[in-house]
Amino acid sequence: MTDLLSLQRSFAQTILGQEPEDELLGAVKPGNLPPDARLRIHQNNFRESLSGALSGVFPFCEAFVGEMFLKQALRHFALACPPNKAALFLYGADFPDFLRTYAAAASVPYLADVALLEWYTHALSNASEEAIFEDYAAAHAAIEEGAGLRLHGNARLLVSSFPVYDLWQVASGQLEPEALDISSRGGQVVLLVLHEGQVFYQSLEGRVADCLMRIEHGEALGPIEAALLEELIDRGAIALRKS
Amino acid sequence: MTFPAHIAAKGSKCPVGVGLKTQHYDDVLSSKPALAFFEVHAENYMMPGGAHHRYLEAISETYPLSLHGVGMSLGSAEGLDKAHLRQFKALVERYRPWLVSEHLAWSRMGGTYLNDLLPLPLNQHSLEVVRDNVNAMQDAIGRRILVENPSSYLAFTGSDMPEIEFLVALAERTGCGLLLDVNNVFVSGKNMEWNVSAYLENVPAALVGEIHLAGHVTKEVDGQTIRIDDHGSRVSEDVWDLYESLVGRIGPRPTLIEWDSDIPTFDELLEEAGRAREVMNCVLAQAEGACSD
Repeated sequence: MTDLLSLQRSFAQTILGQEPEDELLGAVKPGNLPPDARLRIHQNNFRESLSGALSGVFPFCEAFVGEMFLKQALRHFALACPPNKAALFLYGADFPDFLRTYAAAASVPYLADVALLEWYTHALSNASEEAIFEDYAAAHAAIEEGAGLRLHGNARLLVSSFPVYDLWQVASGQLEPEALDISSRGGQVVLLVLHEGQVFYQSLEGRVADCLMRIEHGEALGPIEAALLEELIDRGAIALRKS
Repeated sequence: MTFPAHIAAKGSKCPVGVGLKTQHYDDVLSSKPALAFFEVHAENYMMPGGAHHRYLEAISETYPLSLHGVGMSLGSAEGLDKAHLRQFKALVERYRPWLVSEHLAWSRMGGTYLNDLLPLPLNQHSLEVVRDNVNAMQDAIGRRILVENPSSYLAFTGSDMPEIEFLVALAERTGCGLLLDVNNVFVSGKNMEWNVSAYLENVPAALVGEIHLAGHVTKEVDGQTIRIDDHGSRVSEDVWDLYESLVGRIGPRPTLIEWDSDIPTFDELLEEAGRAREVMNCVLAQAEGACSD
């Protein structure tokens, strides 16, 4: 294998879990260790370094399933969804979706939403902070003019069929595990807002939750009570849609 | 080698730094240790905002930075990722680092980032590929870089140049300098069964702009002992001996202690940095005929 591009392509396929091609094996000097064993060192480096990097992003998942389970899930994720950028702070956004179809996690169906909560936390923690929107009059005018509202750039909304806010409280030690009955508690909507370098978590219910879900989906709100609109602004959840 | 003004002002001819870890941010700012510089991995600061930048900005007000890339993939036959290069350039412009470095390795293929420093066949064709990529990087950021020797676990039948010969040829063709990782030389030499001392004796002193020291771990693979460059422990005595011999020959150089896994206390990291400083001080003293060791 004399062509560097071909060699690197074959090497990459091996790292991503394929059996090494004969031509690649022939291109590696054996020395005191056979070529396939040498290639396995790099396969292992790839999986271990990525699972190590991501385990720091999902500590609450680890609290529910343990270090061994999470590391193994992350190793499988690394092979199934390898990063496409060297800046690894962007890597891991697909892990919650991966968990939804990960057979080994079938007995912990809420884990994907816990992971999504953690991913939103991670993403917000590394985001630029936009100016707070607190102009009630401009918000009312925007609705009347049909210009619309959007979720604030420093806010994320998580709609879960599991009690993900309570689960976050359990994982972070704010709620005793015995106080949460996952099967009967029902779903929760969580708003995450970045403010002055810190991510804040709010459990939403009723009209506030419904309204924010519609805003996130880009639906027209129509008439809205002043108090409700101002509550959304006070929570740091919304901003004017950019024209 | 020109040292930054604040180091020259302190009279330090033996600049020692450590890799900056998030676990040590507050220690650094509260204790303001007597270190010459901090090194950061560029890719860890490519996010738009957040605490990492706030800390790094605060630390960079007191200390020079060394910006060390791990994802440029200088050995990539596909060429460089332009988006990554733009992000790297933005960091150089934002933090104005004292030193900028990358690796003799590749890590990207077909839009996938392989998160490892992968080996190249060391031959004329690879040299041309790396030369073009180093030139592209230096042109983009507008300054000279240092290229680090990697730790190796395999070699290719298509290699026909010793690694140090390859690096020197690269420096001649691009004007880059060398970041000499003594631990990597040791790890590669043991894994690939080549002569570590001979490698170091062939390093041209004038090309070395920085030295890295780190710990490694020994593992058994298929009944063979392999050394893995995990940056997770103190520098081994073998590597300290090589470092002392190297510095004795080429003179003091900016030296960095890397410790990236199983992160120690900040004090433990400072102890390792202090040992590197002692080695360089002793070399200087010996040169002046004053060291009794």
